[in-house]
Amino acid sequence: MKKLIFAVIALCVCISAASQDKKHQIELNIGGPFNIFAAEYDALPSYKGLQRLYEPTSYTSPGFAIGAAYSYRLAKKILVGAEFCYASRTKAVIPAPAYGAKASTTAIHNFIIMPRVRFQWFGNRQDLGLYSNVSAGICATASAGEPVSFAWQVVPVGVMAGGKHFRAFAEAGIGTCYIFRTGFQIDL
Amino acid sequence: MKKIIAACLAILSVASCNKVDYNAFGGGVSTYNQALTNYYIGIADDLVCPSLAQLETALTADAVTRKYLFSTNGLDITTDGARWTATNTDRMRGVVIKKVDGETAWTVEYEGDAYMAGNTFPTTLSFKATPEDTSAGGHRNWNIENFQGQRTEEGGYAMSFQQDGKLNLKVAGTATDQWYVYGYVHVNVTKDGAAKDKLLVNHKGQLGSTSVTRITEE
Repeated sequence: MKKLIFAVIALCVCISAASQDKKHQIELNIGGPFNIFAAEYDALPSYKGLQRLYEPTSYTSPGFAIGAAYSYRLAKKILVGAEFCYASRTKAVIPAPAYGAKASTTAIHNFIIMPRVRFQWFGNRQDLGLYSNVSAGICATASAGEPVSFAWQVVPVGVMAGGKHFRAFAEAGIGTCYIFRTGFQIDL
Repeated sequence: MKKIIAACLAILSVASCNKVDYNAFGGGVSTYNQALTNYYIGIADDLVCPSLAQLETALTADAVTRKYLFSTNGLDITTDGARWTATNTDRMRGVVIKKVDGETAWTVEYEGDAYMAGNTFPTTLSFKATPEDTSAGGHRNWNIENFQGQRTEEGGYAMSFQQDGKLNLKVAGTATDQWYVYGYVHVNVTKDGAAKDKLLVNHKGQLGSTSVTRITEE
């Protein structure tokens, strides 16, 4: 019980300390490549000769993820929130040249929502800062029969720079949505 | 501020478009005919012509050149029992040329890796070649009989081929890319030993006029 009371008091102190500042932050972003760990992300095989004539191939483009995020400044250096990403990839089924049909393409629409925790470990948020993120959530695909899968993203380092209310950011990480992402943030 | 936000949104929307022209890899009916023709013209251009070029060389080269290019059994190539092997050539190295006894004709046999239609795979072939009239640059036109062979490729694919009816080589110039094959060749394609495709290739000389017809059995 003591621990719980201590935690609540600590949380209140953090929120109180942050109350002098703007608490709400939204961001728009674009990153990629999307979901490079997925099994369907593949490349055209290097068939030769007869195999190239008679084997169909398929290719799924990695695509980009565009998204938006909302964060609440829980403490001076800690933000919690959620991010939403949308990624469209194109899966092409390329028939064997010997049988002559046209290639068919299918758009794969992915929707990801992930709660996120951000720790800004360097700098003043008004102009320059370095931070790290951890996110985990779900990824749904707008196709019948596609299961909902686990989505995650870890960003060891991100850099943001700009003004008091508006700044650009770029971050490198690993996970479902991207390896590199950039965008802008607005404090409300 | 509004301008910056609008510019960023514009960049995001443009960057999110991810369009690729995949039809470049597949294509329509004309493309598939072209794909087949591009490959099977190689039977004429890459297997028959270079083999006959070796036979021509054996017949026309001077003694020093012949010694450099061939290993022989000691008999002149025009003598019955002659058996020459091309040992110093980029294409069809190892092709064996034998004089047909009692005829002005030679058999050509090859077994080994052979370049065809862009790739090199194990290939065997044989045919009998009889000279017809003399054509451009002193080269002969040839009548080809019993042309047959097979080729084993990657992915379990193989094909066998054999001529159907008259097959000729017509020489339109001294360079071998001006040597044209005319006639029908049957091709059977298999994958892992099972029938995959059956075709009739109508060699009409140049690539653009050669056609490939799929044989369907009911």
